[in-house]
Amino acid sequence: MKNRFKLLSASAPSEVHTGGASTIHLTDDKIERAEIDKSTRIPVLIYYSSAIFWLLFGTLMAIIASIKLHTPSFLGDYSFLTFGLVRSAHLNAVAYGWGATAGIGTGIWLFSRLCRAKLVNPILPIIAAVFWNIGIAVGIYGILSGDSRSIEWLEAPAYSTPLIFLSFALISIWGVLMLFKRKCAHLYVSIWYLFAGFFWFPWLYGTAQVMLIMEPVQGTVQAAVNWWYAHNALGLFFTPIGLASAYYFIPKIIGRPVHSYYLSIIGFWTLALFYSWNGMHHLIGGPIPVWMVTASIVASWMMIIPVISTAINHHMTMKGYFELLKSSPALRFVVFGAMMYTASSLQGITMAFRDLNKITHFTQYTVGHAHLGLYMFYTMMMFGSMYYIVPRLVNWEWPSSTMIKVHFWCTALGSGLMVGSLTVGGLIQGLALYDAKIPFMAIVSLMQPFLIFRSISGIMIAIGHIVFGVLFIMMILKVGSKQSGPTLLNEVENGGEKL
Amino acid sequence: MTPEELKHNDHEEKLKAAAQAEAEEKYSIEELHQAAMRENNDPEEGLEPIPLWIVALCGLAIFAGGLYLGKYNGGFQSNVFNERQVVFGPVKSTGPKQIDPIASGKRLFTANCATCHQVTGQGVAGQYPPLAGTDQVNGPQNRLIRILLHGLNGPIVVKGNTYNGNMASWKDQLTDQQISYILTYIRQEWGNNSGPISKEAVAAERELVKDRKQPWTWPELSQVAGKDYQDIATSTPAPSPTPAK
Amino acid sequence: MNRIPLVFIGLFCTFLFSWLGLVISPFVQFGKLQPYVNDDGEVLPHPLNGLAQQGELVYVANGCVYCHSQQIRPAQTGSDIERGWGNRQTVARDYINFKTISLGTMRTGPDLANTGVRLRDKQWHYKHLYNPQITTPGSTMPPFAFLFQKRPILDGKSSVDAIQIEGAYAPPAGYEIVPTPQAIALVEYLLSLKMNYPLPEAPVE
Repeated sequence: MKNRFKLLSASAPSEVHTGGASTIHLTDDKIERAEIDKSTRIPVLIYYSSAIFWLLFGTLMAIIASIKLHTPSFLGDYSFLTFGLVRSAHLNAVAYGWGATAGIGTGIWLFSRLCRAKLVNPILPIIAAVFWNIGIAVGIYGILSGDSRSIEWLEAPAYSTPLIFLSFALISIWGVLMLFKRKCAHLYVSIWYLFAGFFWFPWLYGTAQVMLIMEPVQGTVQAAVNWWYAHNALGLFFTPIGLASAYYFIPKIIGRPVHSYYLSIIGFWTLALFYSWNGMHHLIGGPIPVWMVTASIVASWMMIIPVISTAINHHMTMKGYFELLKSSPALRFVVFGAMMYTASSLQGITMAFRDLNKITHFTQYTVGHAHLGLYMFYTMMMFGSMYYIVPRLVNWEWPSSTMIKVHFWCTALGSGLMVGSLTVGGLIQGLALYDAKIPFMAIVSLMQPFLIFRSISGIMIAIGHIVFGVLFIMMILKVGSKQSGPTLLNEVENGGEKL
Repeated sequence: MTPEELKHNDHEEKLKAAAQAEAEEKYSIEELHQAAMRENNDPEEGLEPIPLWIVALCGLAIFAGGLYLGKYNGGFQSNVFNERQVVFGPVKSTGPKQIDPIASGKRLFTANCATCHQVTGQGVAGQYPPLAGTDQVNGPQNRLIRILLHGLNGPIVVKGNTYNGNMASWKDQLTDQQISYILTYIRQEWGNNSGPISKEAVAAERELVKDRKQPWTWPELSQVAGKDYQDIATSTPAPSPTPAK
Repeated sequence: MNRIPLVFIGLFCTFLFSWLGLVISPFVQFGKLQPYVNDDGEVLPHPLNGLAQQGELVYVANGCVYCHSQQIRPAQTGSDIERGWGNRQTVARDYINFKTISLGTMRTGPDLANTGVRLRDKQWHYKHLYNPQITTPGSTMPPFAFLFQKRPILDGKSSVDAIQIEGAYAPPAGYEIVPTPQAIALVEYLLSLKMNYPLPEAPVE
């Protein structure tokens, strides 16, 4: 294959007339990238299709759960839809169904591009995707039919989880094989994050399964393991994949280097060191030895270091190029996500202070924070990644920039309103709970408007998701006419074809 | 041919074979992905130095974190759950707290009794009797104390309405002090205007009926001679009423 | 230079550090706690009877933990004690008899750690579970009518187990509402929730 590249460039660099205004000058790099994209096509599309299915299913579960919180009689006769179960189905569908598959799909593509090697052993990620989907489906069915373990983030019953572990083990093995095959000596920062996420997740998941599901440990050691797992699934799996995407797409799309390699190093290693100790901040005031709680509070404060480093890096890279957010859909979603990463991390650091936690613990404030992180950071980042990657897999451009705009505004506004109402409502709830003179039922009534508002914002988000699902199907089916340049949200004077 | 020439020929052969294979393969430029063709090169890392203020921030965070961990680590022991607990010594008491009996009574009532009798003291029609303006609450102290201690079963007429439920016993759940706070509270709330009940009164009554196991019925209790405990600390013990079993 | 092994060692060590600190240390420190026997010979925490243990399974299967917590925080960390939800902070030993720890992270509904102390009327629990609006109008707790059975009254005599509901939520004439074994077990579990006894590591003020 290498010979072919040489052959093509041995003569004068070829020009390709694309039928549009611009011509493309072929170089080795570009052809190599195209070849790599072609090799990642099937596995990544399988992961992305699964991701969109679970996103839509998870959104449906979310709306049902949201309505039940303020109108408990809604679908109240169905035992399999009782709030505790439909909420768990929502979490598993959006975290493991959408989040993990979108992340693995993006990760596989990024890994291949950054290793500058065609995807090896595609059978591994393909089987992994099949196992993952079966495992999630069986797990969610188990939850709804009465076998939920009611452990947050680990509700899926024991008969479905080994398949998930096996699936991820295949991905980890694939990752190692790719690293051996890579052609570049230098490891770009995104590879560190992806390598980390792919290595840490099986260790996390395996520990949780053994100590909570298979051979449950005694008493509140369960709580410690539970929150070590759940927080690290966020910080050591989803966050690395999200940051890997940001570190790739921001400099890539705007065409300049990342601001500081040294800040990347600090950001990465302090994340590895401190994030993994955060878990017990979910148990402040709880029945575990206080040294663990204090250690987690301190580790949460320490997160200021990686968060600020990463924020500076992203911001300084973007500086002067914010204009492009008007045009590039991928950049818009990615930068939105990157900014929300900073926001949700800073919020999280404040929530680890005992004096704020005593107000916000057990309230909707925490739910708002969770969605600021997993939705406004991670999900929007994944949308951005998919907007960039999918055209390169199907060799087609997004057929409607209007639909992309609808998707963006529905999800950005919808999630903003949702997080806003839960944050304000949660604070009010927390302050009222803290005042023992306020009877509990008064607090329940206080929350109603915020919960109803959240349901409305959820419908907005759902519309965005449906539009995105339709767009994806249109891409697979290659609806519309062939375009010569990317689908942009607004016209750009020059350089638009690079977006 | 020299080894180099051989090698060169070999190489030429390979090139020709590759060209042929390429031509045979339907490798049209249109198949190549346009998007990959036109995009920028893959990102590289810039080498800006770390700003000094970030280093300062790191130092500050580590210092503050270290101080906090040093102060609130509970000795790293497995049986210390409260960060304010003094570990190397007995738990310091801050001295007797000023307790407002009515506030305490209200809290205890809200936590334990309001689920049935409601925070308004109005009860629930047909289910739980009210406490506002009733003969039972405003009547003799000993009967009221006994209801708290052992509970009440069977029909009872309260403000003209009959209730037929079960009230659980509280003698094992509440101390004399707590019962006295609750009863004092209800006897002055919602328009009630009866005197307080002391913890000594509760203790005395508890002693009198200490062998009883089941809840009372109202017919039984109304047979018990009513007694109000006035200055129990100073008065001689009153003759005990006919014990009802 | 191949930095992969270096990166791998770094990833491995940082993760190992947290795994040892937050997973293995607790397992070693408080993973094998024994109950405390006080001067009166009481074994604390009280063991759950068989029916309560079954009830725990019902609690877990229905996801009750997603609205209700079961932990009391110390006085400086919240108003739990002041609200009367408990008389002291709950500690690790309070939970050694549960198979699934349901500490909870949401208080959409009140804390349940001491339900067995302050809500001991079984009838209240049955009515509340069947339809929370009966005992608590305006509650946002969902109805668990599927834990009950609506059946015709035989021979004009209602069953001893039937729960007494008047008014809007009463069953149609000739029918009664009876708790299923699941409901009975669940209520037994709720009544077993008591964490108000003093322990050496958790004195009651």
